[in-house]
Amino acid sequence: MSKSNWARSVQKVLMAGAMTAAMGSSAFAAEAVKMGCVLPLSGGSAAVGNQTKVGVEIAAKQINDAGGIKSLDGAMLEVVFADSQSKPDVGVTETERVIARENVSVLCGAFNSAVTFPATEVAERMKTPWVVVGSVKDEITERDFKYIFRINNKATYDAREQIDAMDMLKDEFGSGPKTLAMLYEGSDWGRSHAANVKVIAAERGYEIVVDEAAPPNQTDFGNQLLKIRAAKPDAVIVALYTPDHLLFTRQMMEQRLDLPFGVHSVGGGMEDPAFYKALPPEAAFYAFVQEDWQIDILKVSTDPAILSADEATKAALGYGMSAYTAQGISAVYVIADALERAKSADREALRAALAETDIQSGPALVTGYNRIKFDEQGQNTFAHGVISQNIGGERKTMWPKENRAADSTPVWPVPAWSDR
Amino acid sequence: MKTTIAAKSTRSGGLRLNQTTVLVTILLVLALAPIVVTDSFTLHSMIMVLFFAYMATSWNFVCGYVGQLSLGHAMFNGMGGYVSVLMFTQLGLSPWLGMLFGGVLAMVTAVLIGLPTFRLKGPYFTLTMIAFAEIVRIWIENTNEFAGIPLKGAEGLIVPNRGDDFWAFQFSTKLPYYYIILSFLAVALVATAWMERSKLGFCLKAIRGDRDAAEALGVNPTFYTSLAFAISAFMTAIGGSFYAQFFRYINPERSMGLELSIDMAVMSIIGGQGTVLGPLLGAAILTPIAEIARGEFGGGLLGLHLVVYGLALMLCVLYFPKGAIEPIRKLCLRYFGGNER
Repeated sequence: MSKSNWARSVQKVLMAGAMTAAMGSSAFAAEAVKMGCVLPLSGGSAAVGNQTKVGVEIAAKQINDAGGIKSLDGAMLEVVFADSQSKPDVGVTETERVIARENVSVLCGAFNSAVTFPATEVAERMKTPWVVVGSVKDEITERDFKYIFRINNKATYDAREQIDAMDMLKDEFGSGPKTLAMLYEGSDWGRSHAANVKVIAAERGYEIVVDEAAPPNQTDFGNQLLKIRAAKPDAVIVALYTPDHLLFTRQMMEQRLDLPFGVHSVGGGMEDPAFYKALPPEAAFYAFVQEDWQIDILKVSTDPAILSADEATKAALGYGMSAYTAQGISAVYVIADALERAKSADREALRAALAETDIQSGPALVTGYNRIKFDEQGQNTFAHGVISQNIGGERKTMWPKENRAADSTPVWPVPAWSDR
Repeated sequence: MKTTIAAKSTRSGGLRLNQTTVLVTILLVLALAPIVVTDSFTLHSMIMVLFFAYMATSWNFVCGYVGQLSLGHAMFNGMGGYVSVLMFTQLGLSPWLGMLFGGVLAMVTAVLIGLPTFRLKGPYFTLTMIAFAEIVRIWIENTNEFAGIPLKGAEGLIVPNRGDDFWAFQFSTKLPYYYIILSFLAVALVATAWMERSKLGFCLKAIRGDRDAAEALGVNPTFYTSLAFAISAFMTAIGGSFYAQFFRYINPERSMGLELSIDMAVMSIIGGQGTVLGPLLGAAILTPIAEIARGEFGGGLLGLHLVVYGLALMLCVLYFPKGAIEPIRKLCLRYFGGNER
């Protein structure tokens, strides 16, 4: 008796399940839209690639949970990830595979400029739109390509912004640096950044008094600090990865090297959460950091999608959103926006829609931009980094002024070590 | 010495005829393959297999036959790429000629490294190659300009697009690249087969077998090894030019990095070093395994595809310590003329 009851109830549950499934499948009858995502998921840049991957997954899930692409009858977004291993040839091969075999409508990626540069050429040739994530090499959007769109900064923007921030503070407070020191790691990123800074600094009337490339993974910055001390610059522009940035910052604190207008880091070490765990907080006080997203966006944003994305990132990675996660989220929302307007997963239609992109609100702007709109080369001309100053251990956005929170006031010039 | 050579040639006599047939068959099949394969991704993957087969064959030319392990061959690859690209962008010289200059530069470098290190026994050659290749890579990564030549440091070099232009080594479809790398591979394989039977080959094998004995018989190990090393470096540099033209972008990290050197060595060793077809087989096994693993697992669990690749490597080493060519060769010997794969 009880057994048959039990069997009957099981039957009921199963029936109900089948019915929901049937209803579900009719509601989601529209074919899923496939997007490819080429990222460095192993090798040297794996940590960064994984953060971006988490961002892409979170955004895709949010969009799907909210009913998918509405203009396509609620079509789901399906992301196909591919591992570039940070190698150009592997990235190109994977791009070929994802386009030809997985038949994706659109691609995004691939963080390393060395991969993005040749891989986007494949996408252009195969007439598949590609939304660039994280790569800053200028030439990527200087090739008259029709299918390549970049949301984030070009390398030259990063340099310009650092000088812009100094100019802004100069206007705001009536004083600012005249002489600059540059200390950068001697590989691709550091060197190209330094070269860009040199050009823009010269245009704006700053004098570079120290120009020092450091080989990666140094054991002592004493020599470089001595050079800086001797040249007495007003401020120093730093482009170092985490280990070198840590050592440099620590030694600078130990030597109590005073720079009236502070340290201006272009990210690298100073945007890595690990950096702040390894140092006494006062070592990085008053330092300016240029980042590819707004570090305090969660304080100024009320967008529920952004807030829940941060929660989801914590659940997936154990720490909150980073610039890399944010860029992944942004790319998916830009693609979803284009899909809505294209009303089609067709590559040509999607390309046309991406070219018409003009986003002025929503989670696509999680990186802190005010607008996303591509020029004829596919570059988002509204892209910018965000420069924060470390006030009492908290990085507060200072530049651009529009992104400042109400309680953020820059400290300019920065106090000497003896006055802190 | 005469007796050694005579003994070796009779021993490999039966196999030799077989090997030529197999070699010609493989090349014919590969040459006709694009009739069946029209899909661009498959063609691309086949180009990559042939490229790695070519690189492994070049590596094998010296390392396989003389038993010296080079983990710095990527340096020659980078030299070929950089010289041909720079001559093209700076002087407008066709990469077809530029790659020969790159090859000669690699040859000269190889002789300069080989002459002192091949005099020594032990791991000195391996160590010198790693050190030298790393020095060159780090130097290029940190040099934006050298004597007026824009090396562009770690940023890498871009080959400007010229559309369909034979002399610029640029084609809008993949088919020409396929036939170019296939002919390179054919030349490299024929050169290896020829070398195996020439005086050079016998001397190299004698050195591998017992260096002291070879020396006692009047074989100059330094001379013969350096000669083979120079030819191998030349071939590797030509491969580097192909890579640069095919992807139209090179950077020191990939083109001169240790990883590429290891790839070349591993493919040769897995396939069967010191044999003509071993490196080709190694590339034909490992490149698709890497690609399939990446396609199947690359997007999922982080690094799983590399684990799969590593397992495949371990299995090869466990079950075919002499290279995957060995069991196939035995089969061929048993049913001579049987299919090679």
